[in-house]
Amino acid sequence: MEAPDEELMLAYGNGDAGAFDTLYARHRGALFRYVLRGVKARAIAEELYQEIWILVIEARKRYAPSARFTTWLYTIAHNRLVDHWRRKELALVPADDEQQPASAAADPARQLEGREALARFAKALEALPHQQREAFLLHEEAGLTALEIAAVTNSEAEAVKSRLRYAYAKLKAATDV
Amino acid sequence: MSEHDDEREAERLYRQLPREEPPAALDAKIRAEARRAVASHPAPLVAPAGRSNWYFPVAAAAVIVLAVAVTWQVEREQGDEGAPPASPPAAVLQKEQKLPEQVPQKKAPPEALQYAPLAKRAEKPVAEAKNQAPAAEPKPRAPAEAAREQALSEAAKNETLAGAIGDQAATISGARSPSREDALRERENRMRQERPGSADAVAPSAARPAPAPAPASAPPSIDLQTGAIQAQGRANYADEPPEKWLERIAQLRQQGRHDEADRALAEFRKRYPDYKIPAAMLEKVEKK
Repeated sequence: MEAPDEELMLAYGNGDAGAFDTLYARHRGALFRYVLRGVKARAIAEELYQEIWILVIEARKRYAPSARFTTWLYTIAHNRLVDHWRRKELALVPADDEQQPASAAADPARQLEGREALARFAKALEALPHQQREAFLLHEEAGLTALEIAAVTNSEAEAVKSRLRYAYAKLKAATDV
Repeated sequence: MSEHDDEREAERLYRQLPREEPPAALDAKIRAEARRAVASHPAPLVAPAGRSNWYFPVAAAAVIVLAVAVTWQVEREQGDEGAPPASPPAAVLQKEQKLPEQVPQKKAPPEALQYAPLAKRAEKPVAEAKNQAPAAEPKPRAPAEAAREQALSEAAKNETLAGAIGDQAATISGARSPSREDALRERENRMRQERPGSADAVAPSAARPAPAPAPASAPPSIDLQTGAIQAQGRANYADEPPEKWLERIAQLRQQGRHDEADRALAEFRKRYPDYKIPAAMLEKVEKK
């Protein structure tokens, strides 16, 4: 039976470098995709991805398994991305954007023909409002529940559920065109 | 199509997207950083079990033994020093020692005996030296010299004691500064040099009216000596019950030694701030 993430992180905090290797191997792909699809530029994604892991390494002594390791890891990642967006002065999607599920989805769907659903899906994903995309990625890549996503993004659970619902609806609409 | 179907379809499509991964170089960099951070980790406060198990108990025992030994030693040294608990504040004694103008016995040695009954023990050798010196005129100078040396050593002791009161911490810790010992040695040497070295010089030396009492040109060692004696005397004086102390002050007033009486009264008030002096006694001790 594989050691849980929390145990590995504690072991790493106590100086076991091998535990970090295992932990890293488990999360590297999902975390990288979460970052890459969040910033949409590979070079920046790599830079942020490395910074996130450095933050994890630096925080190894402070880690307390009060929640899942994944939640903790993606909280660090989310905060780092928010910093990045703020620095880039990228406007975060306003909350009322969630009340317009059709508009964002319609554009990518209309722009693409229906032969390549996957390509449309990718475009739709890219076109999603930032908060919806993030909720979707945290759910799909990190496997977090709505409650965990709420904890990571410091949002209300209901708001997260709503974001997820809209995100799936838009993606579905984009592929159905 | 239900919400769940939407989700499943989206998930399916998402899984078909390229599964991007971080480059191997980045992986290596991050793993190396993780190992470096752990390698540079300082030694743990508590040694891992099985390695140096004896270290902490032994260290703790050593600290306890050291603490007990130091405490015992300090207490023992405090007992040796015999610093009177009821003596006036060290600052007062130091001040008295430092101000030679307040030590009147330089010009008139008998004044130093105003506290005589209380400072008998300390001043006795000096008094003996005084008495013996004139008597030594027809005699060889040996007894006078002996008396002088005795007085000197006594003074040195007293000075050390007075210094100990002023500089209690250094004395308690037993770390008498070498400079103090050097000064004493130097003073002693100076005194010896002053003494005539040959038998020829005995007569003029003995012919002096009073060789033992400090002449006006006496080296500072004599001042310090008498100062130390006086400080000792006052320390004893302060040991007395307040009634006796007041009687002494009254005596000083009667003798017209108002300056000293004032000083003694001030000292008394410092020592016994709550003591109510009876009206009759107050008349005697206060300056009219």
